[in-house]
Amino acid sequence: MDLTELEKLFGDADEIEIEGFKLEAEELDLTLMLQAISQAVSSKLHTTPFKFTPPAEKYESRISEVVVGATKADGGTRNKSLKIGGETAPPFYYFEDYQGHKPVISHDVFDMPISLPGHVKPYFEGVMDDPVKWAKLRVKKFNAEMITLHLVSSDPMVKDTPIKESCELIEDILQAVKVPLIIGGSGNPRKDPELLSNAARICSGERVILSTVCPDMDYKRVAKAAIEHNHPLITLISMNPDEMRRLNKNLMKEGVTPENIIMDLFTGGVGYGIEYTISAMERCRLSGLKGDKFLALPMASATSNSWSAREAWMTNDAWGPREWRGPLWESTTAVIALLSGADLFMMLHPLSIGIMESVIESLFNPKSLTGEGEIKYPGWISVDV
Amino acid sequence: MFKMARLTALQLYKYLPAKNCGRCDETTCMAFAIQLLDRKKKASNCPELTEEGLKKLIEVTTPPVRDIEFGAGENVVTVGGEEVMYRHELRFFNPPPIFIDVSDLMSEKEIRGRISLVKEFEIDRVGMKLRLQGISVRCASDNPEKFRETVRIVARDFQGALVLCSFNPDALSAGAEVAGNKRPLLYAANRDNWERVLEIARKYNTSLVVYSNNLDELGTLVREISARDFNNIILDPGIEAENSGLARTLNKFVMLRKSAVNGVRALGYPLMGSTVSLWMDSKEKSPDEKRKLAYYESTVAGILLDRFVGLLILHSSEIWSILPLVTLRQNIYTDPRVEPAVKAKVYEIGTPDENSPVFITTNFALTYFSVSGDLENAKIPCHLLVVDTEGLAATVAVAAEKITASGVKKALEESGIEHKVKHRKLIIPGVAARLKGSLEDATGWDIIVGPQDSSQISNFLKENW
Repeated sequence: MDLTELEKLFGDADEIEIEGFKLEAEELDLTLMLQAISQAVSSKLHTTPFKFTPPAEKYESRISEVVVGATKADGGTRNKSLKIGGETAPPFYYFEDYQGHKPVISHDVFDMPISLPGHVKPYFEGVMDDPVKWAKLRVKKFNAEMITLHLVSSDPMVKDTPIKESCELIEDILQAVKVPLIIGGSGNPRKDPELLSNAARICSGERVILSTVCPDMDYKRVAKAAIEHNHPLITLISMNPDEMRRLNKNLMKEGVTPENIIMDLFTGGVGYGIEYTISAMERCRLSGLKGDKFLALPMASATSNSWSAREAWMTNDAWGPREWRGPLWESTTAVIALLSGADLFMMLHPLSIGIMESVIESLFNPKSLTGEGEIKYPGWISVDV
Repeated sequence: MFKMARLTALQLYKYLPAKNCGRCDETTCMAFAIQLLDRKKKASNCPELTEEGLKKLIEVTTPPVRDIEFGAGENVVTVGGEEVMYRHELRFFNPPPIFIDVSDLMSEKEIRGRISLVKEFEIDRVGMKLRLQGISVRCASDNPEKFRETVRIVARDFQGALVLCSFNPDALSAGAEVAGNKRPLLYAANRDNWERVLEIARKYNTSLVVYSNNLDELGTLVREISARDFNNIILDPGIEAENSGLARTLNKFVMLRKSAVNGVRALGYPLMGSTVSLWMDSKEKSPDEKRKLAYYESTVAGILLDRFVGLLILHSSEIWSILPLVTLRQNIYTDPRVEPAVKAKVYEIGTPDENSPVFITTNFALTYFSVSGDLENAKIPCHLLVVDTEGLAATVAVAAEKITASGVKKALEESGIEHKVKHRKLIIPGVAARLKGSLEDATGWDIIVGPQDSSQISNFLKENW
């Protein structure tokens, strides 16, 4: 009988008592397999040390890369060209060899003085009735690396600004600031196609982002202009990955390439639909990485929507000062969208933007991920504050 | 271990005695199996199982991230119990409890203030009350006697759940002596003290946290403790919030959840984080710098809430920094399979009569509760007609054309509102202004465009009604 059989027989017993044992032998040769015994004994006292293996999975495809803004070398007049998208894994999953371009924040500028909460207005003192001044302020004072020009006054229900006038403003903006641009329509499905097609023509070669395209407008017209004048566009479908997929597919049928589409699944602020945003974006990003080419596209987040949350603008002592509460509402929304896969942000408040920039810095391209050795963290017990 | 999401009632039924005895308060074992799946009943609710049978049923219904309990009476806290990485794959189950930080170096005044905060903090949202779950007391002094006194003070004034924090088992023991009957969570066991901390956890029949920054060590410690037949464990892998530390922390939390979901038993436990760590060296900071720190703490806590944390310890007591967190927590943990919509019909606010105004709004739960809340606060008796917009909020519904002229016409007819009021004036949300013309054509009613936000309704009516 070999010792392993003996081990099996006795299992994890501490002690073995043998009864009625009789040994008859002329010569007794005892060979003790000490190692086997000591292992049998030791396996009861200690568990095997745990070895952690990063649960990395491989993804089938990459998210497309979209170039925003064209420099002189590429036929435009922007100072810089930015690239977004290109991810190989979910947001910042470095353990799965995440690579991608750094997410970008575009600062909001409106073509008319819109109603802003009282604690936001002071940041834009003296510029709100002049979009050119506003854009310059954004770039000079707040270091904007992109500007979104929201042509809200063009809405027939607002001021119905003539296309010609909007185009003149776009030209002025192109002259005034040299950062990549987003041209935002008013959202009116009957006017926007004409507006955006004309904007495309005015900005020919600059690779401005045309925002936004959706199924209930003549998107084919916008697609044609985008292709002709070489601009990317943003598709907008509220929180519905299946509908978004359909729209992107239809656009690609029209000849728009994945390098020219950015998806916006609508960003609801914290408390106002953010969970829909999270799930819609996560579903799209995961599908894209797993091989669905109609969803393997960068995503945009119009985070300034979060300002419609009463928690962001309302004065309410029970909720604390809105000067802090408001920006935090926007930046929290933005950070969640970032973790859900957003590559491009449209944001309003300079404080929110500042915080987002530092979060993006911290999460993007970390110098080391292994971080061996002890960290400061356990010291939290003794914090004196 | 199965993932509950993939189990069927029929599969669970096989583990049950099939006696249909009714002692679990269900009529049949199959009905009980369904309740088990929905987590409305536990394996231990079946009194007819053998010891072996109960063990097997518990094993098969244990989620990949175990659910861990502590606390006593009305203040039992459940942590973990998760099955998936992404909420759209199923749902998330247990909203992470939030504990507010107290240390034995704080003044009694400060401590009382924090206790009041946790007791009184209550935000009404979508028909639910958002609250803080308890107090975390740490032995910053490293003096067990001082710690005991502080815990005594807290336990006397505060009946909610507690976490006792120290790496010194003498301190934990001292604190548990005066709060043991509340079954406080013990923070934390590490490579040096785990045997003693385990002893204390067993003594007071409570749960403990295992801390290690090193994931090999974390799993090894868990294995040691689990091998001693103790599984009431919460994991703390540590937080680094500066520079690239944030990316490391995020990856740790993601990897740990993914490992659990993939079936790695040694890591199949809920995660926690203490953002108190962000406040190191902050005592001499100015009030404004402290607010910036509170802002950043809230941001990091939000990241953790989005990425798998099961329990949070926060230092900031500023309401504005806590508000987005309790709201975000509620959002993330709602069941994505259930549309938060209210019934589409006429609701009466106060006691309206035939001359009272008629408002329309969408059937998105948040919209309904906000609007009806504002109308109630403004003390305006009126009729509130909720239109079915498939659970979409006003701005979205208008953009997606889920509020249409024909839809509103139908709602008006079906609601019978025409018999309840003499006038034919309908107040629509400000964001639906563009529908005024088409609504007037379709319904024949006078359409009055209301304010952009329902909080302005009171002023609006004063001027326009």
